[in-house]
Amino acid sequence: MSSLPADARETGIEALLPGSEPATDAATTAQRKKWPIGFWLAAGWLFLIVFGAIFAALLPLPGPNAIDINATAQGPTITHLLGTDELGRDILSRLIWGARTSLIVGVVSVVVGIAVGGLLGVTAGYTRGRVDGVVSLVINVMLAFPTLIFALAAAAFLGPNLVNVVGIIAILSIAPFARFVRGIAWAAAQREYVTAARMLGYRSRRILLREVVPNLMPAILSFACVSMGIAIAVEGALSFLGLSVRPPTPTWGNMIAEGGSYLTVVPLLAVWPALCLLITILALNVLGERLRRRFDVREGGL
Amino acid sequence: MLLIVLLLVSFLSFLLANLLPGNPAIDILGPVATKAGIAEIDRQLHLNQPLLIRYFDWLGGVLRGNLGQSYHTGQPVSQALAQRLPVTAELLVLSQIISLALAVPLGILSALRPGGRLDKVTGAGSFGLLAFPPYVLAVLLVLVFAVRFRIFPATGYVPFTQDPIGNLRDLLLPSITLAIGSTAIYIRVLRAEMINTLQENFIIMARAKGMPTWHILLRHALRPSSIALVTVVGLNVGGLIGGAFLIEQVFALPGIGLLTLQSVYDHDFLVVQGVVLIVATAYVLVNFAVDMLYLVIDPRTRRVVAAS
Repeated sequence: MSSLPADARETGIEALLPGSEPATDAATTAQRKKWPIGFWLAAGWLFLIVFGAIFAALLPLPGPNAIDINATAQGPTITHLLGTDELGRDILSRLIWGARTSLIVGVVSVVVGIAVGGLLGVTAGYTRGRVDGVVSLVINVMLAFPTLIFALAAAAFLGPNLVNVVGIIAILSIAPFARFVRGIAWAAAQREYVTAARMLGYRSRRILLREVVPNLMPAILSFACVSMGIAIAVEGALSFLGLSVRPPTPTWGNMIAEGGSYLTVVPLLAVWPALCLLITILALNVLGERLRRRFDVREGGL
Repeated sequence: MLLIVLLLVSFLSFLLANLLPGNPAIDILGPVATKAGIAEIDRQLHLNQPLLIRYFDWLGGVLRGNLGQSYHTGQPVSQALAQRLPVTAELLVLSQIISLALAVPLGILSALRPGGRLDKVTGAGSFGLLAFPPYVLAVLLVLVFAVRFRIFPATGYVPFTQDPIGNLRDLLLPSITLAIGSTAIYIRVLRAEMINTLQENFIIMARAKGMPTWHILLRHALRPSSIALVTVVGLNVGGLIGGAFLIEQVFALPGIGLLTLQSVYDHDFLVVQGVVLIVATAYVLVNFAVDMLYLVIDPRTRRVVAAS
């Protein structure tokens, strides 16, 4: 944005994300090749969530909107493992069905982010010059809009439903991806292997797709994990405000909001979906952090 | 450069509210809307004019401090913003004070002994806290501190001018909620920067001269390390405002967050447009101020600027 220390700003945005501090402690090198317990717990949880979301209809559970009139606002019992809500709906079943929305939003936003934002970023960072100037300006302007405010205004005007929410969050993930990939592509363009490929007379497109992109992939995947967590949190926020998928369709966000109004009566109602959201985001952050260390990604050597 | 970004920001705020479907005339008239009635309202609100002309009309007004009037209440948007802005601003400032008061000492102390006990605890703690979305944290904190232990009120707001102590009591829990996420970020940034700085030659020199550790940390190392911290605080403002909107909703604080949500539900797009403009402009200006702060923190950058 100005001629002032560019590297301070470069490190700045990546530092907003978990898993971006330079690996400094001596222990890091030793830990790098191992997959510790935290990684397995994270992977296990995510597997459970994905499995539940895909096979939600086949699991031996009451439907997410099935009302058990004899058991309203109950604690955990044998028939309802996590208890029931104020209408007598099974919380476990609603949590599993709610995972679908979160996962769809997370996956689509990351795919769009990598495809569009990644492509823009790699081109801008590698070619530099005028292309980079234009792309960076657009990215900076887009990043000036607080994600959540943009998302809630758009969701309210377009109408709160799954397709709109997925689309809005996917579009919002483009700028951060472009910003991140531009930074690492910029650094990669100066590496020896790129110079070597240029010397061999390869065309830019080949160098980009065959040399630069594969080298950036681990870093991009690590960033993707973290930004999937952010996308899920944003969807949760929209649901919480009633601007995502409409009730009675369960999402973690609208379950927290519904539970929030019964905090004094049945506190667990809000706690279960809050825990699901937290653990999922934490698991994605752990995964991103592990990937980064495994491949010793130094954020493009910044 | 700043002007170009601000101009683009204003155009995008305008587009955001105007390209989205929904006709304010229909919202105003409700079910009794007739074709003639809609045309009449469109004419009154100048909605029948081309997009670009409406943009320049609006921009001209904005530059004179006139953001238009709410379609719903008829209240000038600038007046509505002026009423609500202090609440949000107070929330943001309080949260940042709490956040930095925690993050700076913890970041410095963790950097002093990387891999030590304190470093491990704060490292794990801040990594975990990063996963907390503000609304989840808000609900959980209300549950613990307002419902279970009744230390803080769950909702409510008194203006500072009426009852300063009551005002702080109402804002403390929301501010802590907002502060936790940014504290985690700041600790990580400052720690990483401090570790790098502490390996520099001038620090070794200071040690060799026998200076006390606290003096080295605070007078020699903190200043060069705080550039990254200041940058991140600036970039974090956008996220903080989003968080403040959610927190205002949970704690029923009458700030711009609640105003925006209400206007969004009402399709009152001039208000939304005004809020987006103000918030995005504030973000750009804060980051411009951060660039200026570099000059204060690091005198070398003054020469770079002077040279260019």
